[in-house]
Amino acid sequence: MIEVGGLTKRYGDVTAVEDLTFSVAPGHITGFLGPNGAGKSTTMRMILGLDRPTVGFARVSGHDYRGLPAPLREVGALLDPTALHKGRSARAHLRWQAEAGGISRGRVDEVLGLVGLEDVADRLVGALSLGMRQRLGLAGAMLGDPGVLMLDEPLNGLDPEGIVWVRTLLQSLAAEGRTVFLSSHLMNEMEATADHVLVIGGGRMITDMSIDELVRSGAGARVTVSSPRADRLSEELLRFGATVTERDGDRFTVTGLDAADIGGLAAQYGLPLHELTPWRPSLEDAFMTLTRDRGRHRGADLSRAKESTR
Amino acid sequence: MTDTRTEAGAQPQRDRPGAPVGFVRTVRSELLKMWTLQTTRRLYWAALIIAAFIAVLLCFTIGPTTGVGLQDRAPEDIVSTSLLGTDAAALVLMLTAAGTVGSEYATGMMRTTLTVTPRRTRFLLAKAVTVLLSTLAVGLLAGLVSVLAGQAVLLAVGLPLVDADLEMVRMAVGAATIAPFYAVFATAFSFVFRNTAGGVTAAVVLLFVPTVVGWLPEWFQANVLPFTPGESIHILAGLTPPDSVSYVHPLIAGGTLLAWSAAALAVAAVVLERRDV
Repeated sequence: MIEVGGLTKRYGDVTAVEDLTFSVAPGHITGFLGPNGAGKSTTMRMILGLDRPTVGFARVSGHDYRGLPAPLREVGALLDPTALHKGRSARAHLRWQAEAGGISRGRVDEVLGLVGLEDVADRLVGALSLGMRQRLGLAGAMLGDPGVLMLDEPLNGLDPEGIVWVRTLLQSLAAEGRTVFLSSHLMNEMEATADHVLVIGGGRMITDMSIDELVRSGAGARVTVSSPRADRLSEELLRFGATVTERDGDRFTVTGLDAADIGGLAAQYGLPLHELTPWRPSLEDAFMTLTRDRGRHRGADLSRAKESTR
Repeated sequence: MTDTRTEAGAQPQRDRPGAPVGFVRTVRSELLKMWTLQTTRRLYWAALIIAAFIAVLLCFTIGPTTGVGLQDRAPEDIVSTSLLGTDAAALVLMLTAAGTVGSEYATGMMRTTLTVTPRRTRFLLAKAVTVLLSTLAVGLLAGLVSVLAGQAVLLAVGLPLVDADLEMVRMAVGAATIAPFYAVFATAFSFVFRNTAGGVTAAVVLLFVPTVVGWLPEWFQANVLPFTPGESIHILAGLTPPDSVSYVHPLIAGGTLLAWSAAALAVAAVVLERRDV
C-alpha cells in the first residue's frame, strides 16, 4: 500500500508536483501515466525518500520510507536502470544490494534466474544491453521479495518478448497480493498491463480511475447499432439515458451505454439486432484528450484518427 | 518463482519483513561494493606500485639533487626519503576514496544506494569505515613497500642495509596514517560537493594548511600549527622534535586528527540528510 497526501514539490519558481493525493492498493497493477516532465519520477523519488516534499507526505506500508527498518524487504524499486557502475558484474551489483538489505546471498542467484540473466551474471554491467540492464534492475527490485513494487518505466528498452514477460510477471505479482505501481508513457502497454491508472500532467492529478472507466469516459466511447426496428430501439435507448447520433437508415451510433447494456435492452424488448459494434478509443486517445494543454512539452497535434475496436 | 504464495486472485496477508538491517551489514555492503569494482582494485595496486617507484626514484637521485649522497646520510634520512613513496601512495588512495563517492553521484547509483539504505548517516559512516579500513591496510602496505624499495636501492648501490629501530617503525606507521586520514576527509567532502574533484580539493587544501601557517608569525606556529592535521601526523610519526614550538603530546595530536575527521563527517551528515539526492 502506498499513500500520498497533498504531495507538492517546488524547485524555486518551478512546481514539479502539485497537491497529489492518491493511494495505490495491493492486489492490482496501478499505472502512473503522464507526458514527459509531468512529475512521475519526482513523485516516485519522494515516495522513496530520495527527495523531500515541499508540502505533504508519502507513506509506504504506513511508514515514512526513510523510517522503514528493512526497506529492501518491504519495497522493491527500479528507477533508472542505467544508473549504475559499469565496471561491476551483474551478480556483484545484486550482491551488494542483498548485503545492505539483509537478504541472503542465495536469493541473488534466484532473482538472476527469475529474470533470465544467469548466463551473463558474471559479465560487467557495461557490457549489458539496455534490455538486460532493465532485467537487472527488476532483479534488484525483486531481491527482498517485497510486498510493494515501484517501477519507473520498466518496459523501456525491452524487446516485445521482454515486454510480454514483464507484463506477465507483474500480473502474477499483483495476483499474489502485492502492490505494483509502475510508470510508463507507453500507452498501449499500460492498457494491456494495468488495472488502474493515475494520470498526471503538469504535476497535477488529472484522473484516478480504472482502465475501463478511463477508456469509457476518456474520449468518445461509442457503439454502432443496426436494427430493422431502429426507431423503436433508439426511443428505448434514449429513455435509458443514452445519446443517439449519426442516424443513417437502420444504423445509428450510441454513446452513454455500452454494448452489453444495449444488447440486453434489445433482448428485453424483443427487438432484433443486426449489428452491435463497440468503438473504443485507445488509452492513448483518452490520454491525449485528458492531458492536452497540461503537459510541458507538447508536440505537434498528430492525427488522432486511430481507433481500436474490441 | 521459487516462492509459493496463495493462488492468483486471492489477496493473502503478507508477512511483515524480518529483523531490521544493522550497521554491520551496511559496512559489509560497502566493502563488497569497493572490492567488486575493477577501478578501485586497480587503483590500490597502482598506489603500491607508485609507492615503490617514488621511493626508488628519490633514493637514487638524492645525491645529485641535494648534494649529499646516500653513503653520507643518516639511516633515518634514508628511511624518511623512502617514505615519501608512501606519501605519494596516500594521494592515490585519497583520490580513490573520493572516487567511490563521486562515481556514485556521477553514475546516478547514489539513488539506488540510498533506496537500499535510506538511513543516510548510517550509510555515510559505513562508507567512512570502509574507506578507513581499506586505506589503512593499503597505506601500511605502501609504507612497507616504500621502506623495502629504499633498502633495495641500498643493496643495488652496495651500501649496508639500515638497521631498523623503533623510531623508524614509528616513522613508517606515521606515514601510513596519512592515507586513511586524508581519504576519510576527502570522502566526507565528496558527499558535500557531490563529486570526486570537490572531495580531493578539500583534502588538498587541508594538506597545505600547515605550510601556510608556517609563513605566519610564531604565535600561530605555537597555537594553530599543532592543531593542523599535517602537523599532528608529523608529531605522531616522531618527526616533530619535542623541543619544537609546535610540539604537543602525541595523544593530543591523535585527538586532533579524530576531531578533524569527526567535524568533516558531521558536515557531510548534515548536508546529506537535508538535501535531495
